[in-house]
Amino acid sequence: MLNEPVLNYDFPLDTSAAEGHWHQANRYSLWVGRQLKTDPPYEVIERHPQGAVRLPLRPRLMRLIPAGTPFRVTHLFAPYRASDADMIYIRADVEEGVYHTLLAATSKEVKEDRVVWFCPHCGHEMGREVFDARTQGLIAFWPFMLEKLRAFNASPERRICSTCGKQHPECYGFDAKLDQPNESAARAEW
Amino acid sequence: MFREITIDEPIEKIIDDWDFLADRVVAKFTMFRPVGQNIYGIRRRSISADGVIDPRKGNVSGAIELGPQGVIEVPHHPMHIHVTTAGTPHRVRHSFGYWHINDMDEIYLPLTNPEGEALGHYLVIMQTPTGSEGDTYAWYCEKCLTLLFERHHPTGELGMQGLFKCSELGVREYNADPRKRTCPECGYLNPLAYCWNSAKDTPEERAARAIW
Repeated sequence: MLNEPVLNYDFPLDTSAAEGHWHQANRYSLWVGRQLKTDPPYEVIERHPQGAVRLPLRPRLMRLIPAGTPFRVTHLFAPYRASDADMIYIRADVEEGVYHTLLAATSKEVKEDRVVWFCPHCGHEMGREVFDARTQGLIAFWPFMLEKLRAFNASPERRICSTCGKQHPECYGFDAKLDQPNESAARAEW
Repeated sequence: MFREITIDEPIEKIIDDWDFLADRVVAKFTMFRPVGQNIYGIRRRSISADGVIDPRKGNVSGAIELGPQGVIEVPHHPMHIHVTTAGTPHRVRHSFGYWHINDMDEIYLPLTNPEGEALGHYLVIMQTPTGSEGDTYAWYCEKCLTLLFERHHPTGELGMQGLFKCSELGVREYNADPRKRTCPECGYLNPLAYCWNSAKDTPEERAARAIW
């Protein structure tokens, strides 16, 4: 019996959460976050034909967000992401805090990823940008999203909903360490 | 704080089985169930610092993989994500008595017992095979790792239908013939095999499950 693992793909939730970045493990990409129970909670919001659906904050849950379903996580990233990849979200409330895990895998079906803006007041789609996930993978989506949301934040015209006339709040990327002051304020807000 | 407008209707009215860990839903995943691009298995097991204890199989913490350097221990620790990459022969002691070689990646995540509950959630997630991708059940010499016997199931072509039957037939075929269990290189006689589903155990297989 040897001691060296084949491909050291072992991710303790606590250290992965402390690292904070996405990991690639062969075809799967994964991310783990940990919040204090007193933090403003990460809440998954999905867009369905009936409207925006907020997942209840159960102490433990596993949700398959089907490919193509726009979703976002409050205080983690905004606007919405709609991927060709199924996204798996796992929430585990334990003694030391609340763990959030996101998992997704590349496959032949995964060609595109999208940044989508929906008016948070009336639900009207205000714009989308398409990312080539087939050649660039799933993790490279996040820098793409950051670039696109910054252009959106910088454009007062784009932030006005053509249907209800209300202003879309500013957006923020996945990695809080990269936040500009306005993004940091937006992250705290919604 | 700004709050996005969301619909008031109970989520159950919008999305069926939205939470795989809900009591009403989790029983649908006691075997393996394909949903979308992945296949899911959820086991209710006692998961703590003491290990992963299956109510029927006992301690199933000991997982091993077979790589270019030989057999390695990859224990499935509570609150750790472990990824077994496609093509890697792997086995969980006392859980299934064969090496499983999946053409797809597999993810394991044992979540500890929720507060006040005796059983946690042991999650297994793997990609859904398509086309020529499938599953192989294999036996290697326990002493020198020579491949002794294998059975393949074309899951990408046939789906999950017949997957467990294939492993069961492989186990029975392997157990029935000592020549299949005897290493042509070193002469070592391997122990009997057993299926994943312990309810199918013969008395001999139950005894084998307790051993390896």
